[in-house]
Amino acid sequence: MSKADLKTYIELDELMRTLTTTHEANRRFGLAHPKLIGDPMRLLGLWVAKQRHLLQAPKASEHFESMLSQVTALLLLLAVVLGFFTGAGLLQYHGDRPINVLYFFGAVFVLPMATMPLPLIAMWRAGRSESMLVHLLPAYWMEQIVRFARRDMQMMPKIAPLVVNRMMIKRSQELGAAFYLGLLVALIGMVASRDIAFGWNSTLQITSEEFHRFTSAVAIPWKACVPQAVPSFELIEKSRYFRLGGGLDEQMIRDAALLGEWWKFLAMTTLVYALLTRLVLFVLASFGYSRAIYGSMLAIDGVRELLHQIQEPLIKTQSPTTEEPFVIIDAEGMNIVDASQLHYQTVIGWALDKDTVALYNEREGITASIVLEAGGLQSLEDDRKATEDVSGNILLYVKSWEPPTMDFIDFLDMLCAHTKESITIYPVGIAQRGYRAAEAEFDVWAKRIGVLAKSQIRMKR
Amino acid sequence: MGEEDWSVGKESDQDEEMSRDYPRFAVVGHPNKGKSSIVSTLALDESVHISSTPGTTTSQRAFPLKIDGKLLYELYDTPGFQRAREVLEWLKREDIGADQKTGRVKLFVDTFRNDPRFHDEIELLSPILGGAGIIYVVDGSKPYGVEYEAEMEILRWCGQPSMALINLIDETDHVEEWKRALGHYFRLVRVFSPMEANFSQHRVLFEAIAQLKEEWTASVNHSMELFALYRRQNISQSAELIASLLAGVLSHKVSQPITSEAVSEQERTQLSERYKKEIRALEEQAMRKIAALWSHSEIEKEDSLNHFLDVDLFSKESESIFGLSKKELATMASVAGGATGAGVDLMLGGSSMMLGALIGGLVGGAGAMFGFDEAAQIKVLGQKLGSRRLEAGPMKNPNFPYILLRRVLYYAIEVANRPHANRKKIQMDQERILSCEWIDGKTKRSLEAFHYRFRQDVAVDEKQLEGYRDLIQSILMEHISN
Repeated sequence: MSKADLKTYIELDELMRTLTTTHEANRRFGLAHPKLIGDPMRLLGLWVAKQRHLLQAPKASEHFESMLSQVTALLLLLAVVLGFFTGAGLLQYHGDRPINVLYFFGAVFVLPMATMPLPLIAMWRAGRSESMLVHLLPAYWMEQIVRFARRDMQMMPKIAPLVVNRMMIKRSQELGAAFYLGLLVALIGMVASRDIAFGWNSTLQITSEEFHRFTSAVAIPWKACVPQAVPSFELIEKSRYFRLGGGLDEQMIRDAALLGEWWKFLAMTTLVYALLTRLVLFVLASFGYSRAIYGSMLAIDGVRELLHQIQEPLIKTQSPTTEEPFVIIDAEGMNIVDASQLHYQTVIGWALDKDTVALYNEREGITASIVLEAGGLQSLEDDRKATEDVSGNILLYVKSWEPPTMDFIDFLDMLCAHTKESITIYPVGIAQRGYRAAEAEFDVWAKRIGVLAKSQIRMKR
Repeated sequence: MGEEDWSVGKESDQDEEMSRDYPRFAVVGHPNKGKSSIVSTLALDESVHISSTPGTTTSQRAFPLKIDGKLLYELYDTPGFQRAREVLEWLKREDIGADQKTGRVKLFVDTFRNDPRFHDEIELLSPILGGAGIIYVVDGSKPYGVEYEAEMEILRWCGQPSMALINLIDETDHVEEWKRALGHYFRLVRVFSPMEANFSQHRVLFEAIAQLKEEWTASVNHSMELFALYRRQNISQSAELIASLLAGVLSHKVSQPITSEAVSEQERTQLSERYKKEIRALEEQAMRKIAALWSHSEIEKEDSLNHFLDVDLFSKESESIFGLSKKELATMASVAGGATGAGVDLMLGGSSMMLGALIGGLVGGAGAMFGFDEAAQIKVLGQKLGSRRLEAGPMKNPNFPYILLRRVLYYAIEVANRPHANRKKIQMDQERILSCEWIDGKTKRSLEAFHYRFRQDVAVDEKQLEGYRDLIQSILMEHISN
């Protein structure tokens, strides 16, 4: 998985809300980057880069990023300065007694170790939209104050709570590291610029042996590579002082050079337990932050669909053209008759043989002087002949389930040309329906015949 | 039809071969026998006009199957025969041998290309003369009629590979008589109901089509694999949409600022209604997306379960300073006070026995607890530090996720299994939905763990959503014909 960044996340969010891309264009993009299939972050990053120019200026991402950089730079500077002055304060030396290393040790060992669980638990609980532990981080409060003071920051893009929480955790580690950097600079600066005598004392009943064991354990990480930064038993014993003893005794003054050796231990403690641990936490937080952006990018409405479109083969089955609208002409005034008339001069079966026509006649009680066939297997010449053979009023049987084709309409035109008598079209249904035309079938016929608008034609239901 | 080149790098020889000589099939027949329904179902295209009015299709329309722009086959919807006897009589006017029959049909098309009388015949014959195989459609629910013979004879004259499809539009069955008649004109005769066909029937039909011409077999078979892939992709995306919907709905909350001293019942009702409206909108949106995924964007539904959200929903008041509740602020102040006290302890070299930390913690916590309301009213830079809101959600009712899940699963399965020729509304019938046995005990337990997680105010990570998606996908796979 590639690294995800906040700018891409914000821009992607904006693009998904404002831009409409086609499936084809997205798939083309995927095919242009075949090696990136399976790496959604890089694909999305490149896709955003390609579409970025379509975002309206001023871009929210750039505005937010610049704001974030300014605030971060300001906070980091503050943290370095605070660290430096804290270090300078802890190393304030008046010459009348040695500086108690425990104060500085407390700041660079006890404090970072004690606060380390906070970001770790915060990372674990970062998924909550209102993570309590995130609210304890200094970065959260500094951010709140800046946001409160700067109205324009309140108008910033909406970012997923998970990302915000992870951002706070990450930035707290940056601020922590900056603070300890300031502390380390103060230590080195004070050691370089002043002759400092370190010592240690405590109200607690701690023997020099015990304290030596403790400092040796603390110094394990660098014991092999920087042995001179591991306090010797001699140093511990000689640098212990008691308040009632007046701070500095004669022996301590004689061992002044030795007392100064503590700085190496303090510097390494700062480096390893304060800076290095923050660095490790920072790496962890950065990883979590990156994962949070990744997850939040995928959670943006439409992004998963976009990834599918980019990565999966585009299978299209639909027609690229639109169908011409079909206009249904409303035929009004079609003369529809009931089955009252029982005798016709001519009965014609359209695509029906004479036997079937006879069957229909019998069923309906219809009698006819002439029975003719047309359509179906008859030739066009046969049809012409049939139109010449008609006489008097005509009953024309048609299959109700077969809609009228132009073949039939041509025949009807021909018939109308040969006779002025009435032509009754009778759509007959299938046997299973008792030879009754279904309503829809009859309507189809009525509409089509109605379009002809010929008064001599009527329809029998 | 021109082919777009989307490919990156060189295509395989087989692909190139397929691109040059792709199969084409023209769906032809008498008017109003379901040609467009068949095309709609085979091409998964709901834009095809389907009507009981004959003559709806007025010109040929191509439906290409393309994968990444590469054409695999093309299906043509065509108008029905209108003057088949006249065409056949024209064709037979010259006494010619079988080897010249196709040429004669071509001559007819060339001669009458601009004659409106034969517009429909020209439209339907053109793709066939361009090399398309013939899929002749009849209605097997109606009796066979001799008037079909002229058009079948014309098709025979075209000399293209052909098959007949018996479409059962109604319940009556005349399939056997049709089979007897069609057998004289077509080597392959199959029954296919586009209004009910599932994917397996679709596949069987394509297997038959693949036999029409040896050169087309590979391409048609490959097309079937693509259809299967298409369905798998859609199932996966549907599962993703459903999972996101459930995760979103179960964690959904709404809130509004409280302006008055006490919250009125009307305000609570309003918020509750807003919450329910938003949940309905989320469900509707997900359903629309699922329908679009399966190319059923126009499909409508009739929902008898409009009251599925008639479950108790509690609203609660909340107050915050800097986004922290009273409890959170008290804890925070307690930690801060404790840390300050610990600093004092440190300065005293531990002689205070950590009393500083204890006192600091207590003072901080108690101060925040008792001073919360006053602090909330303090104005800094013209803004109040605190804010009061009325909140509703997330939905705690244990049955709610299953009702929602069943509804959306039912919808997805209905949409996915529905042929594109079927334009009836989806009946979201409460009893039918709730009686569907899709979720067994084991799946329900697994789902419940996710539902619990979604209800918490915790961002759902990729892995969790993936796990939930997999469960949904397995249900869909089981019930969507694939």
